[in-house]
Amino acid sequence: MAGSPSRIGLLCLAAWLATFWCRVTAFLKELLIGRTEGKLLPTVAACNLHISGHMTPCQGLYSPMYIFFARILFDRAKNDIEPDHESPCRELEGRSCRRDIVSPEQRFANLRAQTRSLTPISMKNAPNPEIEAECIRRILAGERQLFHELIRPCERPIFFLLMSILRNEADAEDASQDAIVKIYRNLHLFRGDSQFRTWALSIARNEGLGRLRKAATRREDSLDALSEDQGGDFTPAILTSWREVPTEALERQELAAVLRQAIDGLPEIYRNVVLLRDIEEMDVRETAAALGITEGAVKVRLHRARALLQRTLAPRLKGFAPQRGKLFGWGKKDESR
Amino acid sequence: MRIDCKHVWEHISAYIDGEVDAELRAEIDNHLETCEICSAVLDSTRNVVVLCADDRVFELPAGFSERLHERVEAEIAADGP
Repeated sequence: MAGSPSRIGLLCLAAWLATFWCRVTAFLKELLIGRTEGKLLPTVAACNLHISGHMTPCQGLYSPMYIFFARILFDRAKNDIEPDHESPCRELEGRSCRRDIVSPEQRFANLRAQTRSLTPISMKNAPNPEIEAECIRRILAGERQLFHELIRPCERPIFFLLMSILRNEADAEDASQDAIVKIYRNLHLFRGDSQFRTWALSIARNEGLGRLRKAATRREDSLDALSEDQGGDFTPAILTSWREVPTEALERQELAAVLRQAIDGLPEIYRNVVLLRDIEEMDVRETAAALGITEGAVKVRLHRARALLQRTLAPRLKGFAPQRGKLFGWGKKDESR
Repeated sequence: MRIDCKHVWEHISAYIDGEVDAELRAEIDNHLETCEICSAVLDSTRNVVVLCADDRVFELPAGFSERLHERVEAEIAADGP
């Protein structure tokens, strides 16, 4: 029966189907890998057009069947490809290094929002000046208990600024209390030229510096001793990609300790700026006013501080990166590079 | 004009804060498209900034707020009715 026409026909059909399967799978993979920036939008119609180019007129009679198979194959090939699509080898192939579908700003905003969502409600948001002004007016009119609410959003920045200046938790707490009492006593002097928080931080900073002068324990890297022209290596650490923010690892105190240690190791002029800009998320203008420096100086110091932190932290924090990327899809593969 | 890596690093902080002008941003974006090193530097710097903003990194000492407000309350009470 070897020569049976029906069996030969079946064998030919099987061979044809196998060839067709391989060709369409290869095409879909090529199509998907060839796209960049995550724009993986081949349509069934596009598949069909492509396939039609490889079809004989006779095969073309079965185009509905091709569409059906193409749809199945497309889904399967896409699933197969997605892990490879994250491969860092793409850079080595001369393709785009950046895989963001969203803009960098949007991604950064998303990250911030995500980080914030993991934490309790923050008092970092800039207070409403109108509400503050009304609150101050009422305090001065006799509703003195309202001062508790007025000062509450300032507690954190005041303490950490003083901690940065005094380098001692007990001293910083003591100075915070003294500074806040001075703020209360001098509230009538607040003219509203700046935000209340800025004014309060100026008083706290003066309190901290005054204590340092009295104790004559100013550190060598004090505000006066360090100029903007200070030398230093602000070259960033060269490392392979570390795209994920290991926010989950913050639950482990060791990561927080590594961060605190790195920030604590910054020269004071940089530490203060990082504290107000990146930790308390104050804007450039407010930071400049609180520290008594220009906005340009804030930007220069912040840039240098971040470069120093990146240089110190990036190689260490990479070890805290999640096992499998959730944010940007860079997982264990990347760590091994 | 094509910018080099060092030029990108000089502006990386301002780039993260969105403080570079459109022309420079476009140049940096173009550079980042093909430079793995600068992409990694940008990402790691950005990660450091994001981590710093997390409230779990810097926490007030236990009881700080209570002690502070006790002191404030005492000060208010000393002011009289």
